[in-house]
Amino acid sequence: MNFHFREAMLQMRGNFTATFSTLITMTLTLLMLGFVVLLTLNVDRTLSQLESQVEIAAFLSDGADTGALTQAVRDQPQVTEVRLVDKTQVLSEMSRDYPYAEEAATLAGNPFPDTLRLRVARVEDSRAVAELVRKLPGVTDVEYGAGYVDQTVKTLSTVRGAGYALVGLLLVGTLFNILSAVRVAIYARRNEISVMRLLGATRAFIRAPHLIEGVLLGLLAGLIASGLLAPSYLELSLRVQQLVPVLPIITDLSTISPVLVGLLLLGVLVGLAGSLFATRRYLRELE
Amino acid sequence: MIEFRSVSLEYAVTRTLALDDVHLFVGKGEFVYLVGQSGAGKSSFMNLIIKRHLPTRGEVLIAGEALSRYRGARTATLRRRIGMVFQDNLLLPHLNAQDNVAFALRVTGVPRREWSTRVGGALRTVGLEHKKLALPLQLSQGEQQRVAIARAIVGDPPLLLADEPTGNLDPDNSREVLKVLQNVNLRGTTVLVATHARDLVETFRHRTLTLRRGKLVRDDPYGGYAL
Repeated sequence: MNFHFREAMLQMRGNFTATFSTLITMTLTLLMLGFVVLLTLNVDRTLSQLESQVEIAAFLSDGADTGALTQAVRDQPQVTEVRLVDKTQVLSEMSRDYPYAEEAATLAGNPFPDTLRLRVARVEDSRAVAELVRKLPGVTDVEYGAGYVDQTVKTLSTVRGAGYALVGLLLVGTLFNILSAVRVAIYARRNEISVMRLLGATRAFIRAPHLIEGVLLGLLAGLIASGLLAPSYLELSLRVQQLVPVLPIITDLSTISPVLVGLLLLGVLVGLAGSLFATRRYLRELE
Repeated sequence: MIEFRSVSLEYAVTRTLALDDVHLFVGKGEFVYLVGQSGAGKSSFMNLIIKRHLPTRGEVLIAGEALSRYRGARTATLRRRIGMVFQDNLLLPHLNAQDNVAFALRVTGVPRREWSTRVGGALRTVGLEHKKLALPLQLSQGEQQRVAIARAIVGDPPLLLADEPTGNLDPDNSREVLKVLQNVNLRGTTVLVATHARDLVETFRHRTLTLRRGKLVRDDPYGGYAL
C-alpha cells in the first residue's frame, strides 16, 4: 500500500498542472453543489411553512349537501384536512376582525356562505385541488391565494431546478477532468506499466496508484469545499435573516453537517469513478 | 514446454501474414535459438507466447495448457511463469539495479522478506552483485542487459524468452549475455532466444529454429545459422 500511495503522490507532483486544475474544478463543483443543496433545504423549509399556512376555502351555495361535499373533498388523496365552517361561524370570525360586520348582518342578513376549509399535503397541489373542488355541485367559488402561492412555488422550483442542472453539468465536467488527469498520469507511466504487465502485474496492481490519486483528489476537494461552505453559508444566512426575518433560514449544525459529510463522500466517489473509467479504458486498449 | 499447433498469425490492420502454419515443440530445459531476417516473424512468435497477440488460426500451448484458456487475471499468472528480456532492456531509470530486479517481485506480490535473498541470487547469476546500487545510466549496455536478465529470472520462471537480447551490444558484451543465458539454462530453465546474431549462434551451438516470411523452414537440433 505504501508503494501505491507513494506512486500516487509522485504522479500528482509530476502532473501538477492537470492535478491542480482538476482539484480546482472539483472544489468549485462541490462548493456549488453544497450551496444548491442548502438552498434546496431552505426552499423546502419555506414551502413547508407555506403549506402549513395555505388553506383552500370553498364557498357553498345555500342548500348544498354539506355532508356529501365534505366526504367528496376528503376522498381527494392530496387533501389532508377538511373542516366545514357554517355561515354563523364565518360571521363570528369576520366580526372579530371587522366589528361592523355583525352590525351589517343584523341590518341586511348574514352575507357569508357556508364554507369548506381544507389543507393539502403539498402546496404545489393547491391549484389542482382548488380546480377540482370548484367543479363539485354546490360549490360557488374557491379561494386559495393563487396570486402568491403559484408564484412562490414556481420561482422556488425554478431556482432549485436550475441549481441542480448546473451542478449536474459541473459534475460531468469534473468527471472528464479527472479522466484527463489520470490519462496524463498513465501516459507518463506508460513504460513502467509496460514493464509491469510483462512481469505479470495484475490490473488491480497497475490501477492502484491511479485510484488512490482519484480518491485523494476527491477527498481534498471535498475537504476544501466543506471548509469554505460552512462559514460562508452561516455568514450569508445571518445576513438574509437580518434582511428578511420571516424566512425560516436553516442555521442549525444538525442539518448542515450531513451536507458537508455528503460533499466529502461525493468528492471521493467522483474521484474514484473518474479514475476507474480512465484506467479501465486504458488497460483495455493495452490488452 | 512450448507447443505450436498449426499456428498462423495475421495482423488485421495491415493484412500481413506474420506466421504461417507453424508446428513445433520445445521441451522442458531446452536452449533454443529462433533465427531469421528482420520481418521473418521472430517477434510475432515471442508475442504469441506471452499472449500479447492471439493466433488467427491454430493453438499455442505452454506446459500443455492452451493460451486461449488464459483470460483476464490468468494472463498475469501466465506472464509470471515467463521471464522476458528485450533488445531495449526496459529498465526503470529512477531505480538502481537491485530495485529494478526487486520490482519484478513487488509487482507479483512476493513477500518483502524474500526480496533480499532472491535479488542477491539473481544478480549473482548475472555477475553483477557488486553493482547492485548503480542506476541504469551508470551501467554499460551489456550490464544493463544483464540486470534485465536478472529481473526476468528473479521470479524463478520455468521459461525465459529473450528477443534480440544482444541487438544493441558489442561482440564482447553479446558473448557475456549469451553466457549468462546459458547459465540460466543450466539451472533447468527453458530458454528461447530470438536473434539474428549469426556469430553467436555459430559459437554457442544449440537447437536452432529458422523462420522465413513467417514459415518455419528449418529445425536444426545441432544448431548453426542457415538462411
